[in-house]
Amino acid sequence: MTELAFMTATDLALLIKSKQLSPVELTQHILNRIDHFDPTIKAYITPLHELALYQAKEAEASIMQGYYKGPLHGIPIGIKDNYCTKGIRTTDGSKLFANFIPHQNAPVVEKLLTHGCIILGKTNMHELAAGSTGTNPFFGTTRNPWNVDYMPGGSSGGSSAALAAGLAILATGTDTFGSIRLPAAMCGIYGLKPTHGLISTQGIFPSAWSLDHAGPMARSVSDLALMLSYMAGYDANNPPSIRAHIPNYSKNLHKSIKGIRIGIPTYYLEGLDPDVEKLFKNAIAILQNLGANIKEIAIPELSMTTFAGYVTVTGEASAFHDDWLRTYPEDYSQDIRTFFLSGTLTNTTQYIRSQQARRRMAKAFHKAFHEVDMMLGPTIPITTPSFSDHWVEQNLEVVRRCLPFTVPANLTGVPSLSVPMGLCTNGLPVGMQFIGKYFCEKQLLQIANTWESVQPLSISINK
Amino acid sequence: MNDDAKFISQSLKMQGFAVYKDDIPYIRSILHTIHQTQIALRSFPNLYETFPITIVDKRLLQ
Repeated sequence: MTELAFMTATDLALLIKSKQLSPVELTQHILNRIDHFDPTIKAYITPLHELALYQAKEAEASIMQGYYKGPLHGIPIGIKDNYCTKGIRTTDGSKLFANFIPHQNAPVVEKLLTHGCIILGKTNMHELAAGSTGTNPFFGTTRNPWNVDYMPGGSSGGSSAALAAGLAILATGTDTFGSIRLPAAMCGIYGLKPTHGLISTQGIFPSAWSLDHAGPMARSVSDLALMLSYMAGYDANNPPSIRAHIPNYSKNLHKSIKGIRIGIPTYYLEGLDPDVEKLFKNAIAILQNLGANIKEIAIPELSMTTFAGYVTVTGEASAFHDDWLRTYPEDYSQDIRTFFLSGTLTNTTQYIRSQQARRRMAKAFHKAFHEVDMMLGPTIPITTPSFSDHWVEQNLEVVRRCLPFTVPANLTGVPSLSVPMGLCTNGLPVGMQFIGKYFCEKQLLQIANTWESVQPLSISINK
Repeated sequence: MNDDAKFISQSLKMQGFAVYKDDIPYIRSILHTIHQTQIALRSFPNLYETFPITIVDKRLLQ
């Protein structure tokens, strides 16, 4: 029965469609696991047992009557707690919004529900989606299921931990400077930050408007593809939303990568922890064996990443929080308050310079994509740290180390998909990210799918 | 209190934010990171000519 909790949605959907598996049975099984494991893992801020069972019963009844909605019908999902959910409290991981109950669903939630997903609960997150460790002094700190002394990453740490622990089949995340990809890497799962504007961010708490992305998180590439097919799409009410062709992301996922040109920006080879470096070199060799043409490329504009990332994130976040920071400063934990207040002390010139740097970086990416089909780098340069007693310092330090690796895709808006790369010396997963051209999610999914076939979580530095 | 700390404290106060003494070293560290990494912009002397990426909602202007 444990294996049921770790099956992919793609496989479970076949069982549900053919009536070999009841959505009620599946949901109850996951809810039992939540009861058993979540007091330790703390992947959920608000588990929704009653609602989930009600939705599962409805799904089952409708499937038994012959109304099968498609591959999401009857699949239990965790929704990150910064996505608004009608009638269900949505905290954004913050004391400020501990009692906020939205009147409507975020459009993406509405889509997932319309297609039959069952909401297991609202997943835990780093406060206000503005940190990378998963510590949360208000709702409890999420722990990494691979080893509970270690962090799950953030800010979508509840979603990644729920997936890694078999406490959800699918989960949603958001990514402003790495919040989908970083926890995906730390928990050994798959996470996609799509092209900016491909998935509506309407009804999701903003962190930094120009960098915010919503995206899918899952235990397999096929499940990312499945989720993306339903999450993507134009939203007239969402200013960043772009009218784009939405292909069937699940179709033709199995495609040879022979001859594909992959560029490794030399920027991504600097400052790597030894284990990350070893596993990354190993991954390159495997991809070459699979037929990829890999070469190092120079993108000097990436040197502006950290400046542009910090100034844009802290500036936009402090603008959104200006009133609350004045009125309720003690309702922020110290790492987030100091991060946001820093944004009030940078100046307009620095903000504009950052936006100039972003255009230059985007142009440099365009140019690089004439030479290569996609880029590759470690998702983050460090191995997963264990929790420190000095959590404020640790949170700020993890951001300082990791943001330079994750934020380029947010600053430029290109899609980036994090996959597990192997296990490091301490037995925890490490990730790498494929970075693609605008709206080339399908190509990213295809190469990630090929990579998944090498079973990266069986690659261990200790072997 | 050194000059950086004084500047941070006074700037926050002037803007109407509560100042917590324990916050200052962290804010200083973040601002230091920003300041240090701003140096990278010097490698792009024509950056000032670049049109910044701005949040323009074209649908609003139609």
